[in-house]
Amino acid sequence: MMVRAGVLLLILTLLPSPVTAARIDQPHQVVDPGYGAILFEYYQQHWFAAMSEALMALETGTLPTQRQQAQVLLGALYAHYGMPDEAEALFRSLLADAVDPALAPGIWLHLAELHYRNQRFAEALELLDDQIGTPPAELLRSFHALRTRVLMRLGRFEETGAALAHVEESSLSAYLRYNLAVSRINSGDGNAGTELLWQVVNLVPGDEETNALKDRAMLALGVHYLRSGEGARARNLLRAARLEGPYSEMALLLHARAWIDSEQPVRALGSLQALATRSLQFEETQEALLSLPWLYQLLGDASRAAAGYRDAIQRYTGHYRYLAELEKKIRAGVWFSELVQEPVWSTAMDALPAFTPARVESFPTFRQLFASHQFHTRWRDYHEQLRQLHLLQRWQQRLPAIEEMVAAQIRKHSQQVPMAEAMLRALEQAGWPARHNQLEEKFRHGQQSNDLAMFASEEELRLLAALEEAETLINRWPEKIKPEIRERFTLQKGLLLWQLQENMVPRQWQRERELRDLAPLLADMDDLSERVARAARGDSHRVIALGHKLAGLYNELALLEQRGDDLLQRQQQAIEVLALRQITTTRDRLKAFTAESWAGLGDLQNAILREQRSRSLDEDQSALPRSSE
Amino acid sequence: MIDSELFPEVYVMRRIGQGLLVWLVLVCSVAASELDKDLAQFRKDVLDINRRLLLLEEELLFPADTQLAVFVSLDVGKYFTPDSITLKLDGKTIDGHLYTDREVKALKTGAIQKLHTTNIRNGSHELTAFVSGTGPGGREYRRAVSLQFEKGSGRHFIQLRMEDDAAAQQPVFVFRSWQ
Repeated sequence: MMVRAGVLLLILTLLPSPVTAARIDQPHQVVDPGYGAILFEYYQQHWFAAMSEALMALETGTLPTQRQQAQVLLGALYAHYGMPDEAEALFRSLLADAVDPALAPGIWLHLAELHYRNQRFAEALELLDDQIGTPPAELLRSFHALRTRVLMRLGRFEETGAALAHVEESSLSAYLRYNLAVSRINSGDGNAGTELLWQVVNLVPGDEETNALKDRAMLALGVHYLRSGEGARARNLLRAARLEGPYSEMALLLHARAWIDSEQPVRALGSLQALATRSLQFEETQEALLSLPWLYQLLGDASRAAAGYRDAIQRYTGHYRYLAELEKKIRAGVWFSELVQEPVWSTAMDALPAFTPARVESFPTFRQLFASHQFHTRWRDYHEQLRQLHLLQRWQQRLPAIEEMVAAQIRKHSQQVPMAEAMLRALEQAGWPARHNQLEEKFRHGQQSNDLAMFASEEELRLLAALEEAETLINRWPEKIKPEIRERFTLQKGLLLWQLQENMVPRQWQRERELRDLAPLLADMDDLSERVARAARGDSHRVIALGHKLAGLYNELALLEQRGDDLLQRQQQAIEVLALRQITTTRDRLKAFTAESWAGLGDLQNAILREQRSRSLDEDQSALPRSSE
Repeated sequence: MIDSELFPEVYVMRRIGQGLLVWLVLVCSVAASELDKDLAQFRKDVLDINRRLLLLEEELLFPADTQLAVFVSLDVGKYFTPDSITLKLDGKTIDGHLYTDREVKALKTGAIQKLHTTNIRNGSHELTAFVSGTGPGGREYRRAVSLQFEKGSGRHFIQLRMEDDAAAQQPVFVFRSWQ
């Protein structure tokens, strides 16, 4: 009895803590929007999307200042996503690359967590103690929570107690409180452990999960009291246990055992009888069927004991046959297909939708299996695999559209690049820089030779031309020109030349400025033409690269889908192996129980016969005449 | 219980059965370990192809030279909880978003949302964000905020920052723009 209770306690202790490892779930400074965008997915528990976002950001260079933070986050996501080798490689490369000292303790903590998950407990503890030592405030809770779990796994319960002192109990979740309680009991601090367990027991009833945890805490308390020889407290506690829920059968069995331990076997009858009426799919019912006739025998009710043994043998045999049928269904894949429900998809990048095993007829048979960490991991992986296949199928569907976009880019490239090249050729032929140089030269020459016409306005040029024409005419027929007209002409010409001479400096400055303004325009044009040339060349490379990228994707996607399907099959087989293993174990137990029942029945009949024989002997002896008399 | 001396054959058979069970468990654990490795490799490959496809798609849809990305952040969020945002670029509505509780929680924890990515020509543009939500004292709160910006060559990023003004006990909405 105590061995069984101890085993239960050990199982409860070894169950993995549901508390997640050190997460970046506290507000912290975000500088790069690229990093913030990763966190946006991460905080919504869109792990896959967060990883994709991180990988893209790391490649596209949108993390100028928080690249290392993004890498740490990516590593943590790898670890969470079942890619421990990738995570470890990333963390080790970060540590080797002189990572920001502020990030190092977090990385060591992640590495220790990876060691813990891979059951390398000594290495995990070494990292925690040697590399981190005193953790920074923000990692304090995660550090000590992990250290506690590592110490528990190493069986160093005394040190566990000391490590637990660092964990602030008021901030603990119900699960961690429960785990802490069990580890405290294991470390010998029963009072602190029971106090924590009572806190869980006294939680306000709520959803199914909370109620189940309350029941579990109640059982752990009951087991602890039984082990401590406090049978009365155990009985009182177990009497209050719920008669429904996943732990009710265990509570009934323990309740019966508590009475038997207290040497009041008659009071154990009620619990065992109630348990015996329940489905034989529960281990506790199987055990109760054997315990009940034994109890009847103990209480001297031989006929009910014999009937009990026979009933047990009959039901064990029936269940044995049921298991054989179930095994056939598992091997044929029927069981699994009944169990798996069609998941509801939103988008392939979202968090996993709820994916619980269907409540098929055999559900109670595998109740413990379904609650196990191993099954849960496999089941979650199976669903994740489904989601990834879904994602690949979606890409397969989108690939033709991408191909069309690439084709459009190629078409655009084939139209625009020749146009750009023609424009560049025309630009080169126009020789704008050379013309600019000529203009500058002309300006300098005009400036040096004091060429008034060069800086005259159009109106002035027209006047100058008219004056020159008039002068030519005057010179051709001097006798025909009156002196006063000649004087007026000379005056007008002098005035115009004076006017031109007078404004020469601002005029030259104006022209010089215009020439100066042309220089940056020409530089801009040069820059633009260089960019167009570069874009045309670059676009050729880009289009060629796009074509190459696309070419292999169809095949890669198809091959990945094939691999995914194969893995899905293997995961199904792994889950079926778990179920078959449980059937084998149950069958062995049933065989042993059947043998025990036969033996019990044999012993009982033997005892009855011996009793009958001794009674008849006594009667015979009493009927014999007393010869001596 | 079966005594090995009384029932040697049964005892031997049981030991063989136990041995087989141990062997089966070992074989299964080795197979499970291989499966885990294969699963990890498959996930790595899926992540890799997904990354390549996403980058290819982004390159095709939003080339670097014309790309404009709009981000949204919420600093503290004591005086404002967003319900929705509508974005207008040069007077045309380009996007609208309704916030879920999880998204708001993520923003309040320091995350930044990449709200919209689009293509625009180089030159002057105006971006307007119409924000609605719950303001101080649980009152309905609506604001519009605009930004004139010059798009040059290369990617352009704009961040709408919703911040708390502790002195005024009001939210403030500011744009930050960079290339």
